[in-house]
Amino acid sequence: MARLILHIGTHKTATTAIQNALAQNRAVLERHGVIYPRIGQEAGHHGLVEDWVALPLAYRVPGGTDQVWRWLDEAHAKSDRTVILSSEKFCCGRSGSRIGMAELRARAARFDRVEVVCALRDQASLVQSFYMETARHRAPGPFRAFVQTALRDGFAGNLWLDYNRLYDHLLTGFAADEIRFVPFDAMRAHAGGPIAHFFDVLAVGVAPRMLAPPAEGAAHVSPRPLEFLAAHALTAPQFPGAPALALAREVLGHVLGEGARGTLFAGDELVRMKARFAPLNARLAARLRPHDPGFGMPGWPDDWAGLPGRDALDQEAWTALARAMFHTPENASSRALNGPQPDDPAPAPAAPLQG
Amino acid sequence: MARLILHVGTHKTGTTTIQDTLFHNRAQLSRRGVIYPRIGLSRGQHGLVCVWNQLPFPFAIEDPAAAWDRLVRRWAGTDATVFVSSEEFSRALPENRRVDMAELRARLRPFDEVRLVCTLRRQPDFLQSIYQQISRDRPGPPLEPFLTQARKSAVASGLWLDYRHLYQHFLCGFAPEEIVLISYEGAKRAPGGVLGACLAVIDPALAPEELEALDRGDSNVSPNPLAQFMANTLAAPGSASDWAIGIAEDILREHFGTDRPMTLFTTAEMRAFRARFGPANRALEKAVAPYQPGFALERISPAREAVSRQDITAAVWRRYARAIWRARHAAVA
Repeated sequence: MARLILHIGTHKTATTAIQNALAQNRAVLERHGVIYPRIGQEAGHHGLVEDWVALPLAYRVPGGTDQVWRWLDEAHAKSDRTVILSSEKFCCGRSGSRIGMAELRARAARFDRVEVVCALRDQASLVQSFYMETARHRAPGPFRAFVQTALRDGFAGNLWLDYNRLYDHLLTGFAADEIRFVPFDAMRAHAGGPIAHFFDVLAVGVAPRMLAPPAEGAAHVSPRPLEFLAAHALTAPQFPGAPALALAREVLGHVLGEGARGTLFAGDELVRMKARFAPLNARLAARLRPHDPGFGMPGWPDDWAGLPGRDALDQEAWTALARAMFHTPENASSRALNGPQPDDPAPAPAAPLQG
Repeated sequence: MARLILHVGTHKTGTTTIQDTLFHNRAQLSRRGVIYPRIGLSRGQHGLVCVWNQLPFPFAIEDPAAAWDRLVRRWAGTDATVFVSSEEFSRALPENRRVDMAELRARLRPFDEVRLVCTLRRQPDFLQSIYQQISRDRPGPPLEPFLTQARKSAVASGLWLDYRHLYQHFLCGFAPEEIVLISYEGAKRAPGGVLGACLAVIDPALAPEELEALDRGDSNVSPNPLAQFMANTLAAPGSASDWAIGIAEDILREHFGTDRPMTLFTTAEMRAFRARFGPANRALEKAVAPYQPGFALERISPAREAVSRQDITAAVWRRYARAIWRARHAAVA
């Protein structure tokens, strides 16, 4: 039976790590009848959305997508193999970034079984994570504005935050029993991590232990939120690099407590997010249960309410950051820049005050 | 008639500008019968204070008593007006190095007329200026303990803040009619400024515009006090760097604009200053009134439009941290 699995994200659910693992282990997978085709230059198959969405040059498929689908049909649609296609761009919801699901389903028509797999995470952690990811590519603006947009419009960037709307959109092309949602907290909680969980869910006959470990830097691991926020304030518009993050980690470790977790949310934002999206999540869970009785939406991070929010970056924190930078003995110019310091030899007696 | 005018400061009332200007114009002044003597290496006559308070190089002179004798022998009995200036004459502490006003006055007896001139500045501004001067010479003191101690003891960095005590000290040697007090703020508003007020004591016909100005009119201008404070906070326990002060000045200008005055002191602190020194200032004005009618010290009150420490919020510190980061990384690159 020829299977086609469409892994559509969402963003910030370890999609890059999964795509890199699939790409890195192509040979192993192929030996087990699982095909992760090389399409375009990236590990993910982002070029396949070109049929609906204008893409930067780096993502485009040389020769166009028609020949890719033709090759997939000819090589695999009448086989016993499983083809996995993966791109989080398939799940974008804003007009202008949305994929035609009926057309996509039609592309896959010759496969015996087609499945859409999509991981979902709670909207609070998604918004927070997506904000930090956005900062890699452009100025994200203030986080409070990001939250306002999420609450008002139900979007984070191009991502639907009302997953019912994502489901509705998928249903315009795929049958309900072809769509599988996976809670991201289950992926993270899995003993082998999200990649291992992904392979367990796919049930393609490849055990995670057969795969080579991920290469260094294979995924965009988000920094701790408050460390990111502090470091980004220093380096914006650039995404903070290791030195800025290390500085923020060290200073906030003193100010907030070593290893203290934090969140970008402040005030009643988390309460408002839960009020907005938890009922919608419950509605989706109820809709999915006939096809997936064991399905449960990802849990809401209620423990975040006790964490320091972005307003913990107060005067004390910023002063501490500035002081840490001033006192960093990173190079000889530090002394030349900074003038007499307490461990310098004692100065000559002070002259009478002038003026 | 031989006159000697003793300009005793205080510190931070434009004394360096006065000393530099008069020093620069010594020849011209001399032609007008005003003698601004060269004493030692400095432009003020600080060496003469060394009879009572041994000052460090370059202010010290070898034999200050002999220098006084030469000065008196040369000019007492002439028609010259000698102008001697050093803010160190008005230092309060250490007490055992305080100028003995009676002994000082006795040295000046051969002159036909003696005047002691002292410019007094509103105490919060004086204290702010002292804080900034200290910050230039060594690590800035933690501000709140500095303010608390100043209010409690009425002395800061060895200088009187309760000007009644300073006046009483002058009266130990000088008659009240020999003492001329100048309000710093009042003099600044007048056309000739503080220099003009001092020149008026020398010769009412002598105006500042008759003297050649220096390239910089104010010889010892301090940075923005809030910028100094921010840079001190950054550098503690070490000294603030000029580059850090400069960045703080830029940030404050960007954040608050260029029009608003800036002060170290919160509204509450200004009210505390007023409570502490206001009555003392009124009492001094009353004591001086028979000899200097109309003399008034500047009133102490919070300036509504001024930016103070209470306005340096997290947002300002965040901007400062960012600017420091960019400066440090540009320097390394």
